[in-house]
Parts: sequence; C-alpha cells; structure tokens
Amino acid sequence: MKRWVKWVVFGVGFLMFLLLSEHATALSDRAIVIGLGVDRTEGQFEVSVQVLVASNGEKNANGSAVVTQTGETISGALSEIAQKTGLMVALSHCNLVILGQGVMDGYAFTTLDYLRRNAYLSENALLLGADRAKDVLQTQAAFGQTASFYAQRALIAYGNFAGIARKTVKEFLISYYTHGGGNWLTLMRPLPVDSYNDPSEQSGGQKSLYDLTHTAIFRKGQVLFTTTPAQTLGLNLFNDPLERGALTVEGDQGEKIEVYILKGNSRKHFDPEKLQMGLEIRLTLLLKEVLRTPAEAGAEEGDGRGDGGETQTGGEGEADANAGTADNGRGDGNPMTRSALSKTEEQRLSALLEDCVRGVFERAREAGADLFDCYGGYYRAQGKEWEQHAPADFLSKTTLQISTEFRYE
Amino acid sequence: MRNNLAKRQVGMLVFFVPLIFKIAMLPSFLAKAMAQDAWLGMAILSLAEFTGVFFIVQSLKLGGMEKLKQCIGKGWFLLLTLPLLGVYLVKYVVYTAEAINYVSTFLFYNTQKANLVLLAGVVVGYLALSGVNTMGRLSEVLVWALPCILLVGLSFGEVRLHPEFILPTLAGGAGPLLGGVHRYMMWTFDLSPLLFCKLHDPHPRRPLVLVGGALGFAAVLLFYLAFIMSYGGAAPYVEHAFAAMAAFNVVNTEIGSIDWPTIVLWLGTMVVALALKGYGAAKVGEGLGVPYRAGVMAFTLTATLLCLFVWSDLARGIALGTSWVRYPVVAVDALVPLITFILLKVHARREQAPRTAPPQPLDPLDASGEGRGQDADADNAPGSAPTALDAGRWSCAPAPCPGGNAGEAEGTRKRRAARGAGAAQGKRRAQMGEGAPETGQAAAEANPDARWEATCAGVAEEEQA
Repeated sequence: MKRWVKWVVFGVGFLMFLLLSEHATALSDRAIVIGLGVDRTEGQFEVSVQVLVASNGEKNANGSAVVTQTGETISGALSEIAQKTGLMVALSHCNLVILGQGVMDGYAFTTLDYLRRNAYLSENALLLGADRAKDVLQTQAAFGQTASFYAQRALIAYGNFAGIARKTVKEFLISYYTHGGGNWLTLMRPLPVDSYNDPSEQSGGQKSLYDLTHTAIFRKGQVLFTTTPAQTLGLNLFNDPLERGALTVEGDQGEKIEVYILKGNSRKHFDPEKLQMGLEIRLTLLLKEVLRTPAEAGAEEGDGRGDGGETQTGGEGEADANAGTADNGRGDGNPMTRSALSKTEEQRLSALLEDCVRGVFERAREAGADLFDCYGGYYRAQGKEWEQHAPADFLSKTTLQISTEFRYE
Repeated sequence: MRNNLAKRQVGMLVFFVPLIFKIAMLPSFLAKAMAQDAWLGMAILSLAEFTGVFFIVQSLKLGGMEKLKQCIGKGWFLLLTLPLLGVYLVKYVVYTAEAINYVSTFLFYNTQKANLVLLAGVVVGYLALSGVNTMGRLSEVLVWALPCILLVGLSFGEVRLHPEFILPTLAGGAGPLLGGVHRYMMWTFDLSPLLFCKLHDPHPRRPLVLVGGALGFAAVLLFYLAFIMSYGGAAPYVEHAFAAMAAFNVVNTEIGSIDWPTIVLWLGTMVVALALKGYGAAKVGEGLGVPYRAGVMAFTLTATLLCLFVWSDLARGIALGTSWVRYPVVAVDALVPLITFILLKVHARREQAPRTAPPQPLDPLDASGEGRGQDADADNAPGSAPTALDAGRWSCAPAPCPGGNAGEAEGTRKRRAARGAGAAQGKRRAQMGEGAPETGQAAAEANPDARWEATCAGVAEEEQA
C-alpha cells in the first residue's frame, strides 16, 4: 500500500476518533456503586446506591455513602442520583443487588431484566431480598466496611452452605424461565449487635450482623412465603451442588454429633406415569464434634473404664466397625477417634434431611409453587406427550421419594 | 502479496469467520425459535457452511476465481460474481448492526451508534485495504486469545451446566427446528470471499483447512450445547451469548472482570469477518475494472451509509437478515463456490485430456504435466489475464506462459529474457551435439530445468522471428 494512502487513512481515522468518540469519564467523576437496593414505595421505585467514597484519612473511615432517589422508573431514579451527586453512576463494579419487599412482590423480574440488559450490571452479581433494601444498605456492618461488602463476602464464602441458598441475577432469571417458574431469594436481615466495642472506630452508631438463613419463595416473580432455616436447608439439598454446611444429629447414646458437609450432590428422577419425583442425596461428611452431657460422660467413664468401651457400642448391637471405632475413644479420653456415624445415627440424619426437603416441598405445594420444577422434569422425561396430557393437578398428586447416601472423610 | 494466503491462515479464517457471528446474538435467536433444540439447528447450519468450505478450498487448489476468469471469460465471470456484491453488502449491514449493538450495549455507556458505525467503517476499510493476507495474519494473532480465555476460565471459572436443559430433543417435531433454520439461514456461508485469494500450499498433504473447519464445527456445537445447558429457558433473553458465557459465572469481587480476552477476540475477529466482505466486494469490482483500493473504499462507504441512514439499528438490521432478502443471499453465497468448483474441475479435466495425446511441441509446459504446466492452456488462451511468476510460485494457479501475453508484467519479461538468453545458448549447444546427445525435446522431458530452458529458448527464437 502506498504511503500516502496509509497516512490519509490514519489521519481520517484519528480525526474520527477525536471527533466522534465519547468523552471518557474520569474515575474520580464516577460513582462506583458497590451495592444497589431497589424498593417500591407509593407506586414509585426507590433506588439506593452504596457508593465508594475515596477515603481521606480519618474522615469517611467507612469509605462509602448511601444515596437514595425515587423515580417512576429505575433508570429515572438512577439519573436523579447522577444529577444530585454530580457523578456518573457506574454499575459495572456492582456485585450486589438487594430487592425490597415491594419489588419482590411483582416487580422482581422487570427490575432485574432492566438492570441486566441496559444498566451494565453483571449478571453474576449476587442477589438478595430484604424487607427494605435501603435500610439494609444503610446499616453499619460490624465486620467489613459496608453492608454490601459484608454480604458479598458471606455469600461467596458460605453461599450454598447448608443454611444459605445463594442466588445470582443470572440464576434468578434462569429459574424464572423454568416451566414451573419456582424461584427463591435469600433474605438479608440485620441483627443489631448490642455490645460491639471497637476502639479504632471513630464514628458511633448501631453495628449489625446479618441473618441470611431465611429464603423468600417465588412463583414467576411473585413472592409467596418465607422459609425457615430448616426449609432453606431442604432447598439446598435439592439443588446441586451443595457446598459445605454443618448438621447436628443425635447419637445413639443421646449425645449431640456435629457433622460437616464437605461435598454434596443430588440426583433427580421424574416418573410422569406415576407422578413421582425421586431425589437421591449424596453427602460426604466429616465428624466434627461429639458432645455428651456431663452426666452421660460420667456414666460412660464409670462403665467403660478398663474395657476399652466395649459396652458402649451402638444400641443396635451390630458389628459396625465404624461404631466400634467411635466408641473405642470414649474410655480413653479421646472423643474424636470415631470417623463415621452408626447405622441408626445415619437413619436419624436421613430422617432429618428428608424432613427438611419435604418441609419446603410441601410448603411450596400448598402455596401453589412448583418449586422443584416437577412439570419440567416430567416434560423432559415424556416430551410432547406430557404437554398434551399433563393433569392439571399434577403438583398435588406428585409424590416425593428421597434416598440418602453418606460417605465419610 | 495481499491476495495470498498460506494454508494455515485459510484454516484459521475457516475456523474464526463462520464462528464469530454464530455465537454472538444468533444463539438467543435460535433458542427463541427452537428452544432446547437450538444446538441441532446450529449443527444443520454449520454443516451446510463447512460443506461449502470444501468447494471453496478445492476451487482454490484449482486456481480460484482468477483462474476461472481466464477459463470462462470476463462476461461470464461478471455474471457469476456480481451478485456477490449485493450479498456482501447485505451481510455487512446485518453483521454491523449486531456488532454495533454489542459495543454500545455491552462495552460502553450511552454511546451513539452512528459514531460507532463510522469508526467501524474506518477500521474495517483499512483492514480490507491491507488485503486478505493481513486478515490471515490477524487471525493468527487473535488465535492466542483462545488459550488465554481457556486458561482464565479453568483457573477461576465456576461453570454450572445443567445437562437436563437440552432435553427433550425434538419434542415439538422437526417443524420448529427447520423453521428456525429457515428463518436464520443468512448467518451462514460467510467464506465465499476466500475464493478470490491465492492459496499457498507448500505441504498439500497437511489438512490444515480441514482441521480448521472441523474445529470450527466442533466449537460452534460445543458452545451451543454449553449455552443451552447453562441458561435453559432463559437462553432467548441473553443478548450476547459469547460475552455472557465467557464470564464463567465468576463473581467480580473475587478477581475482577475477566471478560477482556473475549472482548479482544470477538472484536478482532468481527473486524476480520467484515473486512473479508470488503475484500470480496473489491475483488468483484476488479472484474469491472475498478482498482482494488477504490473498490474497497466504495464498498465500505456505501455500506457505512446504509448502516447510518437505512438500517440504522439492530432491529432493522435483524429484520433485513430475516426478510426475503435472505433467500437470494444464501443462494448466491452457497452456489457461487459450487459453480466455481464445477467449472474449474471441468476445465481441469479438459486440460488433462491432451496429455494422453502425443507430445505437444508447441507448448512444452503443457507437455511437462507437472505442477504449473497443467494449466498452461488457459494461460495461452486468447484474452486470458497475465499472471505474475511470483504469483505462480505462491499459488496453485498456473505459472505464466512464456509465450508473451500482451499484458505481461515488465519484470516478468526481463526475467524471462534473461533466462531465455542463457537457455538459447544451451539449446544451440544441444543442437550442435555438445553435452547430451538427446534432442531438445527429449532433454526437456528428462530434466525439468533443461525443459524450462528449452522452452524459453524456443519462445525467444519465436519472438526474434
């Protein structure tokens, strides 16, 4: 190519970049949003953003500010915030969205759909529900700089934990478009800390921890009810994969045994002929703690001294190697030598897990939510035939068969 | 040189160019039309496209469009290639609408699309001016983004796939599947501009293009399967499938945004794919006597104006791509490589036929039957275009006949004359019985170098006469 052509093309291109490019907004002119809350009050959207503030020493030690504006639309409210602050609201670093009760009650999908499509919000942002999003954002976290960072840290570390059912924007939308439309959202509830005392903290005010164990259950963007922590565990057991968690089961001698879930997964089977859903739960467990009451411990010491605990074997009297191993530890002052549950303890644990799963399943069924997407499961098993002949009351007729399998580390 | 492509580069273009617009917005379109069977629809479209690649590559091996022009004459050549001009224009408009939407909704805030169209025109135009070999080089550079994406994804990714989302297969019968294929058929057959390039194939046995095509086919299918397994019923609502999938479900607070390798790859390959249209259009224009650069500029300017004032947004661009226009576009894009291949094949067979006849003393290159000699008839045909020696060395296109075509390059003449002078001396020696006792013709058959010298000597004598 001739040199003059290159220069002309370069010159034209450079001029066009100069004249036509958008003016870049300096970082200092941007409101870097780290948490977004959306509420609905008096027929309007109330949008709250937690913005990072450049720290200047002792002032603004928490490094953030919450700004709230209302508008007919979310975009309008965000524009109001931009005008009021004089900064461009940037959601590209926002990894937490909190929906208030008013939004969860019918506006969840439209809100998220707008944010995902038009507001440059990452669809991997974490999603939470709250009674009032603004209030949650305004609380001062006892640990971590802000409520937003606290929630992100907790959900990343303990999301899909036994008692927390984490959702991202993307996962919420995927569940929204399942056949049953069943969905859920972790609720974030501040728990005031009364005796918090941090001498390094200059600013006063009530500090909070947060409860994330309750979950709002939806059907197609409409919130139906809130689960108990046990039902949240049931929800997590249904979902794959379950990442870690702690369970307490009663031992054969009445002791409390804490098992830690290292890994969990579940398999689902749907039989459209019998209207039956099968759920196989597989957990890899680690025995963390065996807690006996002082009376039990005293009695066991008296009975078991000198014979290595042979009389302390499980109540079933079975030749269970694991149970024997566990009991061997009781008399020698080393309570943690057992590495597995006995058969009866496993049965107790299975019953506990089954109760949790059935609890949330039945509760959702009562509310009319196909939370486990039974319709989709039957459809995938039977295809078009299911669509044509699906009974209207398939959900109420569906039976749940649960089986469990435990492995130990 | 800008017309030459190494086989490796063709393989990479065959991998990238059909892939890039199939994994952007098309997944959501197909998911809307075919639900969980979108991957099957894409398999049909891709299979058709990679079948077309076979005809393109075979045509290139037979000399490509340049050879065809010599074979069938300018008039027929224009009749065959002129429709491609419209095809490239339509595809440029539709694909640009998609690309601009990606940039304005995914990469930047509140950007005016008109500005992006202009900027895209400059970048694409410059690349098209640089020639197809620059596109090949660019694809060789961009390919390194792939391992980068995989590395980042494997290191930090948290991909959750739901295999049950692709079930049941063909629950609604073949109707929705074929309906989707029918509606979005325009997003295929993107490689016809390669017909105009020259293939440098020093290792004919290495199936690099086949590997590129197979990898591209596999990549498209795997991407669609992963996309459906990841998004299920929400797949129709994911505007930018590649960008969404390449985020690997990683929460940004952990490691920050990791989508930049995908942005680099997609933008770079998008520019290559669009520039290839400009290249093809300019090569068609050359048939009309329009210089290559002028052709590129005219095409880019026209396409940019259309993008600015007629199909100025995504909805209009997609509407164009799914309108009746898609039928002629697909027909032309699919049939031109096929017709080109058939014509070149027929011509090649006709050329081979005289070889079984007694030796052709007037055209020693043809008598050689080796490599460049097989197409020598075409070069000697009246009205055939001149071909540079260098080009003959680079491609499977025929080497020039030293018989002196009217438009032969001056450099070629000089080289030929220099060789001819030496060869004439050698031939005289041979005729005088010095050296080997064979005749010039026999010597030519025994030794290719001697054959070449003898040929040139004969030609020089004819010229002197």
